[in-house]
Order: sequence, then C-alpha cells, then structure tokens
Amino acid sequence: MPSLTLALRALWYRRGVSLAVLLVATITTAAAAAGALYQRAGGESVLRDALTAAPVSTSGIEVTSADLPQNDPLGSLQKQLAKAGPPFAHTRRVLSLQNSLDAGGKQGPARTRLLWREGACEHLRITAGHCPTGPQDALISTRMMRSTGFGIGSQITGCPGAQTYFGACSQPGGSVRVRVVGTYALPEADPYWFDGPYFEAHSGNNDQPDTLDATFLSRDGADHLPATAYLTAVAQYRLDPATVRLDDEARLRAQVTHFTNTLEAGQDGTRALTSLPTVLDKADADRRDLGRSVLVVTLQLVALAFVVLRLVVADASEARGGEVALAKLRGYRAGPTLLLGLLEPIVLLVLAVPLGLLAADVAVRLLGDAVLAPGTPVVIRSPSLLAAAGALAGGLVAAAYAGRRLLTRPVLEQWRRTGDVQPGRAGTVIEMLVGMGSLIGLVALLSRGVLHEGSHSALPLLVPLLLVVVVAVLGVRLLPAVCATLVRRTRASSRLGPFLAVRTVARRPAGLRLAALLAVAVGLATFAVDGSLVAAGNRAERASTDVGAAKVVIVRTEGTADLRRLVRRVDPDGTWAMAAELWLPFGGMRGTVLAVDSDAFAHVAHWRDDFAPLSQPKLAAAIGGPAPSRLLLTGDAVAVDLTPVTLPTPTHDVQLLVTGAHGQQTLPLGELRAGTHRYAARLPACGTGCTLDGIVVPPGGQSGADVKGALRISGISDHRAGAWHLLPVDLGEPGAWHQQLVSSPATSEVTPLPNGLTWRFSVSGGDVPVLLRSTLPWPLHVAAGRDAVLDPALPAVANFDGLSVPIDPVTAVDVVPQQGQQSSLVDLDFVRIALPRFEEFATQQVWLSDAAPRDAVERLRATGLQIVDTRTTTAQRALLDRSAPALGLLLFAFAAAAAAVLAAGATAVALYLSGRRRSFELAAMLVVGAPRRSLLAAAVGEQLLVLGTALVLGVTGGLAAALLVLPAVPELPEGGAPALRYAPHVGGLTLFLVVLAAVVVATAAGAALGLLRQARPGLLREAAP
Amino acid sequence: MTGLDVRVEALEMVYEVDGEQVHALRGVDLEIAAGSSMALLGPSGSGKSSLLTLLAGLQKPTSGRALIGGQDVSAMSERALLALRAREVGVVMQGPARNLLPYANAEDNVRFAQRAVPRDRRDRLRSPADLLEQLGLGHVRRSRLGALSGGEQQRLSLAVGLAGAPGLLLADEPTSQLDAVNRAHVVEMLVTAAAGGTTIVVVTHDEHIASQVDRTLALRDGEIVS
Repeated sequence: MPSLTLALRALWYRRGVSLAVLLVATITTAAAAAGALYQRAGGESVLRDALTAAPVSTSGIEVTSADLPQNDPLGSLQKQLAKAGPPFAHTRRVLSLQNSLDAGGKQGPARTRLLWREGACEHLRITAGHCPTGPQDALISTRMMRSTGFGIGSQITGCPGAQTYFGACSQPGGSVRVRVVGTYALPEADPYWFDGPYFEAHSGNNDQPDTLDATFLSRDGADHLPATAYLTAVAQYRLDPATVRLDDEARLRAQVTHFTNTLEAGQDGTRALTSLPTVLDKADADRRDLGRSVLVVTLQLVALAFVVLRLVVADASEARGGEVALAKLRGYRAGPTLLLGLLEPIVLLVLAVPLGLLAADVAVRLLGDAVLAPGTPVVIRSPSLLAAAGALAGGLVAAAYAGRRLLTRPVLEQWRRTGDVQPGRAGTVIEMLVGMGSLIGLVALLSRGVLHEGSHSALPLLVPLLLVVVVAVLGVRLLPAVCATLVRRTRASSRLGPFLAVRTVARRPAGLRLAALLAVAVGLATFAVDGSLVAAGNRAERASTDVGAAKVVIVRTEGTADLRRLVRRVDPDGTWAMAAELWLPFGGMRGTVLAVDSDAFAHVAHWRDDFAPLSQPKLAAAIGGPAPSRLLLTGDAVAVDLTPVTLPTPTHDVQLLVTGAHGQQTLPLGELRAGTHRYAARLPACGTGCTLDGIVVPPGGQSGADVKGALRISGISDHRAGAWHLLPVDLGEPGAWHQQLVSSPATSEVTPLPNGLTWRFSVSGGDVPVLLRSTLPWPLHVAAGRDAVLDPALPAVANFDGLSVPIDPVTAVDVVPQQGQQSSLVDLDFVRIALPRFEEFATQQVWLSDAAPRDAVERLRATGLQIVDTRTTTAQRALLDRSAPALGLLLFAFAAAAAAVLAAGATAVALYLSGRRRSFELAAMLVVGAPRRSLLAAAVGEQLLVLGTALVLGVTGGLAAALLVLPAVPELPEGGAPALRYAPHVGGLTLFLVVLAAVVVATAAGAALGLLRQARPGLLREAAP
Repeated sequence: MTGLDVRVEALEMVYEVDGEQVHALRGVDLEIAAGSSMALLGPSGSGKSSLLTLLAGLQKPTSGRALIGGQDVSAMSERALLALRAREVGVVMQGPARNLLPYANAEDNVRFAQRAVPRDRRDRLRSPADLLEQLGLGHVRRSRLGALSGGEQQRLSLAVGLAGAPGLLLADEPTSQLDAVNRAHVVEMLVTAAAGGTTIVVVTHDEHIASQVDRTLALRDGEIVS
C-alpha cells in the first residue's frame, strides 16, 4: 500500500503539475463557493444601498397624532408608543410638538411653524441670543428675522393652527405670544430633521400668506400653548441602514407591521407612515435579479472549471502512468494501484477545499471593499460550504474517471504513453454533443427572445458561453483539415519548420480539446472585457448625467439674493462653476425646468452629443440670448411720438418708466390725445445714462375698469445739447417689447412697423397696461424637452402666482443633465426677470466642473451661500457600480478572468506533460540531422497554430457575443437617461488583444524552447520497447 | 527460496504495425528448470524482450503457451497475473526509470516492491536495509534516486526485482550502459540470486553474463537458433 508520505514526496517531485492541479482545483472550489458568497454579500450591499439611498423619512417611520388630549399630547403619544414597542433595533427616535402660527411681519401676514423638537438646539447653529428655555421663548431663523423685521426681544403674536384670520383669532383667547430670544442659521442637510419642511420659506399666493422658517419653542413653551392650539405630537423613528442585515429583513418587516398596526388600532387620529416595506421590496427585487445573474454566471464558470479540472486531473493522473505501470509490474492489486494513481490528485482536491473557500472569501472581500457598499459583511455560510463540497465531489468524479483508465490500461501501453492524452472516440462524441447542445441552447434562447433590449433577465448572460462554445468546438474541428491542406503546400517548400508544424497538427490533433477550451476562455474574456468596458462607460455616462456635473452643491440663498451673481463672484468667467435652479412650473409645461447660467453651461454641465440636436455651446447660446438692446438716455429730457390708434376710454394718461442712478422712476407725459403728438418729460440726472424701461397707460379716471386701446409709437428721442435726437434703435425689433404680465385676464399684441410699432392692449380687474422694453429675448427662449410644451399653439410657462410667460421653444432637448428626459432648459437670468418669484419654489444649486479648485465649496460658503447638500459624479458612479445589474456583470468579468486562469493552467499542464513525448520526437529529428533552427520553428509554429487558432476563434466568438448580447444584458437600474451605447470599446479591446497575442507568442516560444532544451539524443536510449 | 520452472510451448507473437504483421516470436519452445539460470541472446528485434514480457504476463501471445511453475500465464486473468507477479515473479525492465519510483529513496523503492508481496510471505523477506546491504547498496539506502549514479540505479533496479524473493527473476538488459565494475556487481547479484534457488532469465547482449549463467539461448527473427 503506497503511503501518504510517499504521496507527499511525489507531490513535491511533480510540484509544477501539482501546483497547477491545486490551482485549478482551488479555482473550481472558489468559483463554486464564491457564487453563493458573492450573492449573499451583493444582496447585503444592495439592501444597504437601498436603505441608505432612500430619504430618511422614507426608510423611517413617522407617527403623528393630531387628536390627542391637549393637556399632554406628547405624554399621551408616548404611552401609545411604549405599548407598540420600538419598530426596529438601534433606532433613533425624535419627538416633537408642532403647529402653525399665523402672524404679521414686515411684509404683511405670514405663517410660521411653531415647533418644539427634542434636541433641536444641538442641530442648529445659534447666530445670536440663545436657545429657548422659558415658556415664552422663541428662536427664529436669521432669514425670518430679515424678512419679517423681528429681532431678539421682538414679540410675535398670532393665531395658531388653521384659524387663519388676520387681525384677530377666531377662537377667543386663542392667540399666542412669544418673545424672540435667539436666531439660528439655516442648517445643512442632516438626517435629524427627517426631511421635515421646517426651512422652506416662500411667498404665498392670493389665498395663502407667506411661509416662514420654523419658530422653535422650548418644551415648556409648547406645553403652555393654549388648548386651542391643537398641537400635533410627532414621533420620528430613523432607521440606521448600517445595522440592517439580510437576516434581519423578515423580522424588520414583521416589527414594522406590528408597530404600525398596534398604533393605528390604539387611538383615532394616530397614524404611522413609512415606505420602508416599499424600499425593502425594491431591494428584494434587485437582489433577485442579482441572484439570477450570479446563478447563471456561476453555473457557467463551474461547468467550465469542471471541464478544466477533469482535463488537468486526467493529465496529472497520466503523469503517474509510469508509476501505476510499476505497481502493476510488482503485482499490486487494483485497490492499491488506484490509490497510487489517485492519491496525489485526491490530496490536492481535498487541500483545495479550504484553499478554495479561503480564496473565495478573500476574493469576495476584496471585491466587497472595492465595489460593494462600505461595511458589507462577507460571511461563509452553508451554501458556500455546500458548493465547495460539490466542487470536491466533482473533482473526485473526475479523478475516478481518470483512475478507471489507469486501471484498465495494459502495463506496456501505460509506458508507451508519456503524458499526451489523445482524444478518444468518447471524448470526441462528448465534444460534439457539447457543441450541438450549445447550438441548440443558443437557438432556443434566441428564439425565446432573451435578447430583447431591456429584458432585465439573467438569461442573456448564458448566450456568450453557448456562442463561444459553438464557435470553439466547431472551429477547432476545422484546424486539422486546414493543416492537412497546408501539409501538401509546405511539403514542397525548402523550409522544414512550417512543414513539420502543420504536419504535426494535421496528424496528431491532440491539442484540439485544449484549443477549444482556450477558445472558450478567450471568448468569454473578450466578451467580459468589452462588456465591462462598455458597461463601465455607460455607468459613467449615467452617473454624470444623473448628477449633471462633476459636483453639484445644493445651496440656499438668503432673501432675493441673485445666485448667479454670487457664483460669478467666485468664478467670474463661469468656467468651472455654474448657478442653476431647478423648478417645477405651475402650468404651461410638463416636467421640470432647469434654469442655468447659460454662459457657464458649456463649461460645467455634463453633455453628450445625443442630448439635443444642437451642440452644447449652440444650445446655451440659443437659450441665453441675445437680449434686445437697451434704450439708453443721456440727455436732459425724453420724448415719445405717439398716435392712439384706438384711444383708451375713459381718458388715460401716459407715463414712462425710466431707471437711473436712483432706481426706477415714473415720468408723467400727460393725457393721451387723438392724433400724433410728441409727449415729453424731463429726465432726472441721466448724465451717466438712464434706461427707458417701458410705457405706462394709467387710467385717468376711476380705477378697476377694463382698459382697451391701441397706440402707435413712431419714435423715441433724447434731448441733448439743445436738440432732440431720435434713439438709434429699431423700435420694431421682434421681441423687443412686451406687455407687463398681470394675473387678471389680459391680451396684448405688439406689431412691428417700418418706423415703430403698434401696441394693442386689453387689461381688466384694475390692472394697468404697461409696455415694457424687453431685457431678455421675448418670448422666453426655452430648450424644450420632448412633449414638455402642453399647448403648442400658445406655448407658455406659468408660475405659482398665476403669472404666465410666453415661451419660444427655440430648440428641442432630449436629455437635460441631472433631469433626464421630460425636462427643459432656460437661462437663469432671463427666467428671473420674466418670473421674479420662481426662485421661491426652486431648488438652488451650484454645479462645479472637474476644473473647480479644491476649496470651491468653501469659496461658495464664503459668499454667504448656505450649503445644504453635495452630490458628486464619483459617488453616484460608485452607487451605480454596486447596483444589482453592475454586480452581475462584475461577477461575469471575474468569472471570465478565472476561466482564463483555468485555461492557462490547463495549457501549462498540457504543455508540460506533452513535453516529454515531443522532446523524444525532436531528439530523433536532431539525430537524423534536422537543423535545430528548423525544429525550433516547427515547435513554435505548432504551438502558435493551436494557441493562435484558439485566440482567433475566442476573440471572434467573444466579439460576436458582445455585439449580439450586450444590448440585452442589464447594465443599470431600470429607467434613466441617456440611452446606453454598445459600440465595442476599441481601445480596451485592442490592448486586450495585444496582451493576449503577446502571451500566446511568449507561451509558444517558451514551450518550444523548453522542448528543444529537453531534446537530447540520450533520451532515445530510454525509448519505449 | 524455491525456484520455478518455466516451459514455453509453440509460442507465437504477432504485432501489427501500420497494417503490416510483424512476427516477434515464431513457435518458440523452451524449458528452463527450476533454480537454473538462462541468458537470452540475440540482436535487436530478435524477440528477446517480447519473450520476456510474455513470461512476465505483460502481454498475451498470439498462440502457444507459457507456463511458470506449471501455471499458464497466457491464459491467466489479469488479477491472477498480478498475484503471480506479487508472489513469485520479479521483473526488471530495461532502464532504471521503468523499475524505480523517482521520488523515493533506495530503501523506499525496495519497500514499495515488498509491499506488493502477500502478507503471509512478507515476514520471510529480508528488510530493505539488509537486502541493500547484502547487494552492496547499503551506503545509498537513504539516498534519493537522483543522487545515485547510473550503475547504482541499475543495481537498485535489480535489488527491487529481487526484493520479494521471487521464484523467477526476469531481467531485461540489466547491465546495459554500465561500466565494468558495476557490470560485475550486477552479475554477482544475479549469480547470488541463482545460488539462492531463484530461476533467472536474463535478456542481454553481455557476454560476461552469458558466461556466468547455466545456459544461453540465441534468438533471431523470433526463432531459437541455438
């Protein structure tokens, strides 16, 4: 009985082959175990990302109770919460009491939210005074201080709740009076605030007062509010995504359901709101997608690994043929002989189990560190152990198959074999069956339509393997035939090397199976390289489009500060920073409108050529201008030549709006009269220049009447140096004039004339007709998203206060950076002029390009901008890189790399083991006088033919698979823009091919040199009997 | 040690090479008495090695019989042949590589051969160290194969063939490529084995061996010529 010691010595003696077998077995085990491990870790990552990406109010739970006893609403809510128990472990709960307060401010009536919030002062920066402690104390924002005129020490009096009535509260004794004791700066993004609308001050409209930032009270203050305040008690539970594991999910769902049901069953008016189940459902769906991809990829890799393992184990067993023959010669029975033949592979296979598990663990950990969500746990669990056991069983089956051949082969034949396994008939049949099976599978998959773009199925990932197997198996079968043809051609040549090379391949195609295997590995690697690069490009593109620029900073400005000006203060040329405001119009247009500093747009915003028919600079120019020329007055008087076409009734005056050093002034020109007259007025100190802003036709009699009329303006003159000078402008320039927008029904028509214009107007409800000189292209230029304009006959965009601005969709835009489809672009300056209050409902942003200095955000902060949040393309890219589809593709790439290593291992073993036979042949040739150089050429040529064929077939199959399959392989989460691109990544593929070709040439040359080195004439003395 | 007698009757061996029949042995008849020694001589391709492998049961004859100790090896099952070789027949093939485990030392190689011997006979065998000492290889018993000279490897091959104390030793060219000193050692080992009662059949070109055995037999083109 051969001993284990002897087996270990044998392992060391054949350490090269042993290492290759161990490597292949380890990779096989690792491949099997890593699939399960990766699926688990990927699932954890997907879950964590889903929870992290969800707004805190979505993944958390908010419990509100409006109908609680007003003497202690919070205590009452707390009792209910205690009964329901915490909804999840490690939760952070914040309690608050709140209601609104209608009070008067500097600008008129306004509404603030009265709020006591547990721990609020720890999350606010107090700019003056102190936190509220007494029952009357209040803390207001600096913004509120400026807009209302309230300051420290001010009394705020108002009516709480929905009793909106200015002057007096509807409930007797219901008024609230607090004293401002401090001010706070608006806070930056902080999950503590639970996405609450505490700092969203904006103007009201006709029905509602202005909304102010929240006013913070002490707990005493909240408790001392009158009972009529009807405070709402709120408890917010924040989920810490880092504490949630997949194992916790079912329990988490059950706890949340129990919590919400208990609360809602307990007290009328208590509501528990959460979207956590929806978030978990989405994560589940993504995880299932990932699971399917992992299964498909792992099965392919394991199948391939098993084929390689079988070949390598068979080769390694063949290498022991001489020893098995010796055992038979000595008379060993079948059992010990088999053990002698298989002990080494078995030792290696068993050793590969812990190594494979370790390798899988390390690989998935490394992958996890690089790609998965930070802190994703990687734990070996029973599925991985079972997979490893399965791999071991597969290896043992392969060993048993190899052992059967060893046992049944006669001793002398065993000696004659020197490590080169000829493909037997059974092997050929299996190969053809695999080829045909793959072909049938491929046709079946294609006919089932798995390659439909956006199918979001994992099955397309099966197609590359099937395709490359078909190409490889059928392709390598042609090699001997091709070489047979070449034999005839090279026979007549004086060069021995090529003849010997093609003859060897044509007559003894022992390397075909290896070539097929290599071709499959190269094919998968080609597909994986191209697929990974293409998908990485698409993810990068999506990330950039999602964010809009390299970095986007969400900011807040105080009051009516001009964001563009503030940004231009840090980047005067607009080359790396761009102001942008995102706005959802209240009418006229569908989708969001992104208002941008159009001069900076081309420098800062991400762009791709298919986003719009126009290039980025041209699109920016289209929305950005030019504005009509200003009407500049420098004299001491101004005159307008007017002819009432239809005299407005009753009598009307006419006035001019002029802006000079002291702001805008109204200059009366007198009463309108029939016929053409020059109406003149003195200019107030316009030596340095004033601008004529517009013409007003105020009613001369009672107000409130409808006004209708038409005026022809034929000239505007400036009185300088004692003479009138007509302004050198074309008064009829299209878009140069427009009637001031009013909220009541109004019509206006400006008709250009050769020497002026005619203005027909109609206003109602007491509004005054005003013809304004446009300071922006009029109608407002818009790059409109597809179907964004709701009424193409009267394109317009409306603000929340009812103002509607006509728009000119100067160009279409398919994708707006950050906003994707269904969005439009306008110039920020122009929209501010056209709709001055649009900003109150806009999200203010500063976009930064890659060229922005490192301290760009600090520079912005220094201008007084408040930084709310920051998004970067890098972070978004990282998020996309670990989305379920990306993780599936990544595993495919790793599987292909593993397949390539496996194939390389198999090649190394095969070359090493076949070396002995080939060295005998070469030695014989040397003895009969063949030149060494020719033999080297023959050996190199033979290896190049086999390996090169594998390379060509593999690359062809892989490229075909990439072109065919990539559009159907899920690359990114569903939806989003821009459209994905699938053109082969020429640069990456070229580099890959060059490296691959270099490896093949080096391998062929190395193997040939090694053979020739071994080929000594002395070898022939050991020739077979 | 009890030697085994060998009897060969009308032994024919025909190979097929590239579709053509090659007669390795043509009706060979032969008898070797138990405990005697015989050398098979003849040029390359005369059928010496084929005869040896047929006697060892490593291949089957086309026709005829080969009896060892009265058992027809040409009709025996593979299992029976293994048992016969384990118990009764030591075989030394040409070249050390066919006879020795390359990664084991001299002692382990002997032990490997002895482990094939059935247990009931194993305790009567000499220990590997004793055997190697007796055969003049005591100084290399712990040495790896790679550390042995060609002559020592050849002698070790013979020692391994004799390790199971066989009744019949079949040796193919045991002195090829050896210098005079080593050749003498090998011959001495064969003579010693024969003196111990082992039947010896040696295929050789070596006249010195031929002179030391009881009988020589010359083969040419598969036939006994003298």
